[in-house]
Amino acid sequence: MNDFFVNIILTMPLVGAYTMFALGIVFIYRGSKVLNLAHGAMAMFPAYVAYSAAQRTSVFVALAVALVAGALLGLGVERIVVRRLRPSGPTAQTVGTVAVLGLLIAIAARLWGTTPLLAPQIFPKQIYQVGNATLQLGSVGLFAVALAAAAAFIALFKYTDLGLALRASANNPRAAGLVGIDPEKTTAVAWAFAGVLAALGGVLLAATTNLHPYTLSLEVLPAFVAALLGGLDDVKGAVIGSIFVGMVIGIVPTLPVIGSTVGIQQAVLGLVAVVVMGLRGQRFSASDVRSGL
Amino acid sequence: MRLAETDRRVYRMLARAAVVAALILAPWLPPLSSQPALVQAANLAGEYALIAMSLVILTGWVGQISLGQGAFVGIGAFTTGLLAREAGIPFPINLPIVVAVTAAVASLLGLVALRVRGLYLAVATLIFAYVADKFLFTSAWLVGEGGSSTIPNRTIGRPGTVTFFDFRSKEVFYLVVLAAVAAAWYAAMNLRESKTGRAFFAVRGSETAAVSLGIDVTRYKLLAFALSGALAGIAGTLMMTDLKTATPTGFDFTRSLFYLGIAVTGGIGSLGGAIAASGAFAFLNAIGQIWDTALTRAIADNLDIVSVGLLLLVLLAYPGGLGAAGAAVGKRLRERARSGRRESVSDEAPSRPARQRVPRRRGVERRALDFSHLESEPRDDELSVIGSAAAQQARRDWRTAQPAPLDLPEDRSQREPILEARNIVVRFGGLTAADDVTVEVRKSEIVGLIGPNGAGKTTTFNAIAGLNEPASGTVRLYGQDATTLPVHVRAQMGVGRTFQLIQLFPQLSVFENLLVATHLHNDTGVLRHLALTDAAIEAEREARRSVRRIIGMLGLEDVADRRVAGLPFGVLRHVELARALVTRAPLLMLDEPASGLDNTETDEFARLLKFIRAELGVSILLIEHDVRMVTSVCDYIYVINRGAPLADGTPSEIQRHPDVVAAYLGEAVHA
Amino acid sequence: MSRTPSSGSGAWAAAGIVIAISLLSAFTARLPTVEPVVNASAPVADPGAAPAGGEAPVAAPAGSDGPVPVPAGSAPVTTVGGKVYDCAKGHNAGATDVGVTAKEIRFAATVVKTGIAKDFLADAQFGMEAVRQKVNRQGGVCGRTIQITYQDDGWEPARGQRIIEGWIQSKKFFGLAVNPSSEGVRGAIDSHVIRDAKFPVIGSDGQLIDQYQDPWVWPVATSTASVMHIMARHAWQQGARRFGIVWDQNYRFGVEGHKAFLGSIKRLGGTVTSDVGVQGGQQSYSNQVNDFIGSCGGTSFARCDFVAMLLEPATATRWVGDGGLGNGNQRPRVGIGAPQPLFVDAFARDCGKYCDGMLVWTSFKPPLDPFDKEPAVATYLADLRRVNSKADANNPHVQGAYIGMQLLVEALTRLGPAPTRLGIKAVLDTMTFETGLAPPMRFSKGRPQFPNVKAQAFASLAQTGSFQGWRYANSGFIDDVDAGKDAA
Repeated sequence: MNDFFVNIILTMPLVGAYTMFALGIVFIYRGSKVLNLAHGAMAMFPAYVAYSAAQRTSVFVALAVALVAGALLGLGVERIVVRRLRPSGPTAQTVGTVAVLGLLIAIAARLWGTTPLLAPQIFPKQIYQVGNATLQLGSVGLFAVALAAAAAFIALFKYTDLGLALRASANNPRAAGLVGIDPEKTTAVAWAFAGVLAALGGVLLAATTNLHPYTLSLEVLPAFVAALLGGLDDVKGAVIGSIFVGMVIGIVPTLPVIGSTVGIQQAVLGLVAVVVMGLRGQRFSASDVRSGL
Repeated sequence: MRLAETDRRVYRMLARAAVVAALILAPWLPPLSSQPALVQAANLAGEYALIAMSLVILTGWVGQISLGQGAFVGIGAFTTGLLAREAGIPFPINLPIVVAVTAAVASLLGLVALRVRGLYLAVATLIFAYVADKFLFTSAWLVGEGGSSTIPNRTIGRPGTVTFFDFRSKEVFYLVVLAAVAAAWYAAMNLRESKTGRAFFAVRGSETAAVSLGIDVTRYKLLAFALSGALAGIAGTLMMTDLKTATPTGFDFTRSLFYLGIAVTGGIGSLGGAIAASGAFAFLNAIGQIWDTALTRAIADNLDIVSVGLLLLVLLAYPGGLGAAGAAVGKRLRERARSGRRESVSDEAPSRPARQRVPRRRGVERRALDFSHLESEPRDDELSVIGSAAAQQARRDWRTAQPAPLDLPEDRSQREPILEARNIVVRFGGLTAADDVTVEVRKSEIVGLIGPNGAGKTTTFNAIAGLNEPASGTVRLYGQDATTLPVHVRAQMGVGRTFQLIQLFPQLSVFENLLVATHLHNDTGVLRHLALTDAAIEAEREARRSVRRIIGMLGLEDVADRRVAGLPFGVLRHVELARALVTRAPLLMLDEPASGLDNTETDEFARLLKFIRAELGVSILLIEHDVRMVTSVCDYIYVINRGAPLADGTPSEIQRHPDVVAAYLGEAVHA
Repeated sequence: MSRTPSSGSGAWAAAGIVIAISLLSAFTARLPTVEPVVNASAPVADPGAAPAGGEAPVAAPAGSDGPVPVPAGSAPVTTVGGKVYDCAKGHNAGATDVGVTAKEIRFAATVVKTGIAKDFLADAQFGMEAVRQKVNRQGGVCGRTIQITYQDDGWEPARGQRIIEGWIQSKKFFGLAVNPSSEGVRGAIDSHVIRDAKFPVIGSDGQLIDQYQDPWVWPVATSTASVMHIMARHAWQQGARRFGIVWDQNYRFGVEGHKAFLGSIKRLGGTVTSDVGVQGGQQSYSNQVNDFIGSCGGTSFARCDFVAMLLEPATATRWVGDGGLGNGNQRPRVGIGAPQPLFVDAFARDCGKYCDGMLVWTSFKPPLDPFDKEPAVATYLADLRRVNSKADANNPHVQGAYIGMQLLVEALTRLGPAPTRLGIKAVLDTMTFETGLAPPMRFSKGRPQFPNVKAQAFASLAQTGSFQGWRYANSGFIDDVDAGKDAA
């Protein structure tokens, strides 16, 4: 039993990382109905920016610079890629984000190389022994920040005018426009927020792991699974999904018989995703007016 | 004149023959003959083209986003390796097995597509690719020991006898790839112009409209996944046969994104664009080996950035992709060539009378109207000429002609029941939207369902149509119980409908929109469509004849070839009605058909309804707000208020009914 | 727009013909026979058995014009087709095979300039250039300069294979030199393209087993499998009886090494108490660390006398960071071991005190104390710096590329004025070669062959808590007595 709880606690770094990513994905999906496949790169790039900044100034200034970079990145991607491709439909927008992903990784690899680098530490470097493994304070911090971000996020959407505007313009841009909400502006705000969130996640994650253009960006994949499990537009669901995904990826490989099969954790995730989609999938209903692209 | 015609045809044939010959002989002609890297690039381009075309079908035509096509390529490749290693099965014998396997797996993924759609589906395919990458392609039974799957040489090519089939030679393999791409392209083109292709576009355009036209959306989605997966699997087989070895890293998630990128660069809906884009990316891949200049070296050393850059450039500057760019160029060329000249039309066999036989589906009896008495109109290309005054006057025009007198029994209970919806109750959570509503439609009647706003008309209507599930109550169509039947089966039985928010397919022309509605009366299946058999062609001609009849009847010739997207709203209402008519359904359900029309247009529409009822014998159930229209056109009216039935009777009875007056009409309307 | 389709019966007929022919070909052809590849345009010098330096010369078969046996290293003066060529004066027999002219001999290599392996493989090209430019400055080999065409393949097997197949078909190159992109050449080897075309691959890095099994590939390094054999035996001799191993499931070297390690322990009679395979590239391994350390009896390593880390640097850093090597105060009784991929300063720095005393194994003599004073190592450094002052000289891939080129040059030199592909195969298959940068390599005709089965160890010094450098562990080059066993 003791080992069981230890194992749960040790999934914290994974869960924290996936939660941060999933939040951003959900934010963008709610804000502009786009699947942002570049999200991992939008976390990775500002983390590298923080690295370069930290060599010149203090860590916290570097963090601020990274957050600004994240916001700018979000705004840039929205303006240059997503907005321009909106008339071409969600497929084109999704592929546009794929192109951004590839571009950011290629640029980062050229600017900073593919050797893993040590990222600036936001939380003090403190190590706790948990069971037979160790947990860094930074990982716990990442987890805590992720939960706080989720809570702030829920509050934002529910209780503030901005949140209402975001929801309205995502739901029905034309109607929102008619009541004075500028849908373009709110979408831009949504992306800027998401960019800041991704940057924060990237910096915190890199601090407990390391900076690498590929692995840091592609770590976002399980977060998509988490977002889907929670329903792509539900923040609480994203958190629960991330907890689940983190636990599967962490714990399944340690199970006695099946754990040693290569890729078993992904197989389990796939199975669960299928079941969830089967149970909760959107059924065809009369209110489903236009479902095509 | 005629001489020039023949000359031009001869020139065109010669040109086509020259292109085909050049394609076939390419590896032995310069520049490919001196550059093996170019032959390799051509083979790679062909493999990419198959994958891109599979995405055109799935994502471009049917609208199902797939972020995991690379997984199917991998399944094809590793299955090929498995068959060769364990059973010694060579190419091309392994093709049917690979097609079966990948189609089956793709259908499984398609099952997911039935439950989720749009971007949710995209994530689902992403998860599939992720699981395939990490789990499926790392299992030893599929990939073989040693982490990479290799085909023993003796199952690749057969050197020694017919050199022609030594697939180890890149030139010979080029011919194989060329044949595969040509076959796939041919089949896909056939598909696009067929009933299956139209069903695909309908599913993408509006699933609601598609089911109302009798299209089994489930079946077509699964079919699309199966076709697309099989094509990608064939590409995987070719890749494996080409290189004789495959590693899991070649089919990972980022590869899938790359393939989608190729398809989007080509313009996701364009086959020609897919081939062009594949060629571009494959060529870029090999550019460093073909020329050795500073520029090509820079490109080759930075291929990742250049590829992404090309994708972004095309996306942002030409959102329609290479396909749209090519189409625009082609259109301009064709317009220039065609100015002042009419294309000669291949004359078909003398048109036979419309087939009266209505195909039977299991368990459900079909009803269809007989259109044979409608005038058979001339061919497609002359539609635009029909607008001439003489032709118009020669026809019975529903706008001016008096509808033929109707021969209905006075006693309603004597009329044949078409639709009987009894005691319909619909609940949404705690709210009872429809409470014990009964609606009946009898032969050749026009029945109205009216009530104040929020009365529950649309809810009841949708329950009768099959879009909502009633909590209790029965629906009988033509005497058969249809309460639990899905919408497309009811359409098969003979129900057509229109929608309050117009559900036409905006990218298609009016003619094409109506053509989709011939789905139910077209017997041919997807295999016939792919291969373009004579049966498929005959069914296609018959479908077009049906559509022309309805176009003639409603006087839509002027707009027949125009895209729906630009037409005035009033015309669109007529087009939607026409589409329902094309299904030959004896019962039409119209959801606020006059909504958005002004008084004149509404009167016109009422006249049209009476006309078609007289000409064709359809029965109509309609919801309407416009009381004037309802009282002028309906034989019988049901009134509901707050979900419960209020009154029913003839228009004059309803107008005098005190409850109705109180709840809805305000004051009695003078006829 | 809409057109009425026209008949498709013509297409049916064409399809039928194609299918018929394909079926016919699939069932009627016979198995391929081996044909010698003969370049019709150039005269072929009969490949007599070229002798290896230091061994008794083998007489050339009667009637051939094979090279006269000479001691290794000296430029031969030989007779080909009746004419005498003096290599020392730069005279040669002209275009004797594909990719050979009187002025130059052309090779090709795929390199890694983009992609995930860029950082540790990109510099290998400089190791190659260091040798090539030096040799060319001295006039080349027998009057021919060495030209190498490089192409980036991003470390992708399919891409590299297409490039290499293109080179083979272009008939412009004699063979592959070193080919730093091991994944790129892997496809070409596995699919037998290399051996079918008889296209020599000289001086490859030897990381994967398939390079030892192909008759036309001559690797210079010690295989991962051999290193793991040596590591296991060395630990056993230090008293380890219970072993722990963490290994990368994604990369071939992890899979092969793991199998070899387990095989050795089984043969020695030890037990593996903790065995964890991980997916490389993840951000956290806490749970698996918990599992691994738990099986080892906790952070005191009560049940693991020795721990082997078969990971590449990024994954290894994560593993250690999550506690995979314990708490830094207690270590496995006998120690920690890792193969060549972890012989990287950046990793040792990140690892810090956890890696204090960790033994990393290499098949070369890196420019570190005490080897940096040896003449061959100093020369290596100087040659490398001349090409690129910032290249990482410690990187085993760079050093391996340098050694691989040296092998190539030596083989060409011994071959003489009339190089042919068959000729160089004959030279290489019986060659013994000492560079001074590695133990003597002995090649042989049989396959699999293991020219170099020795490795030596360096320890990471971090007693103060941070990485200080590498200290030679005085192991000497240890032989792998189990070479060839546990092939994947």
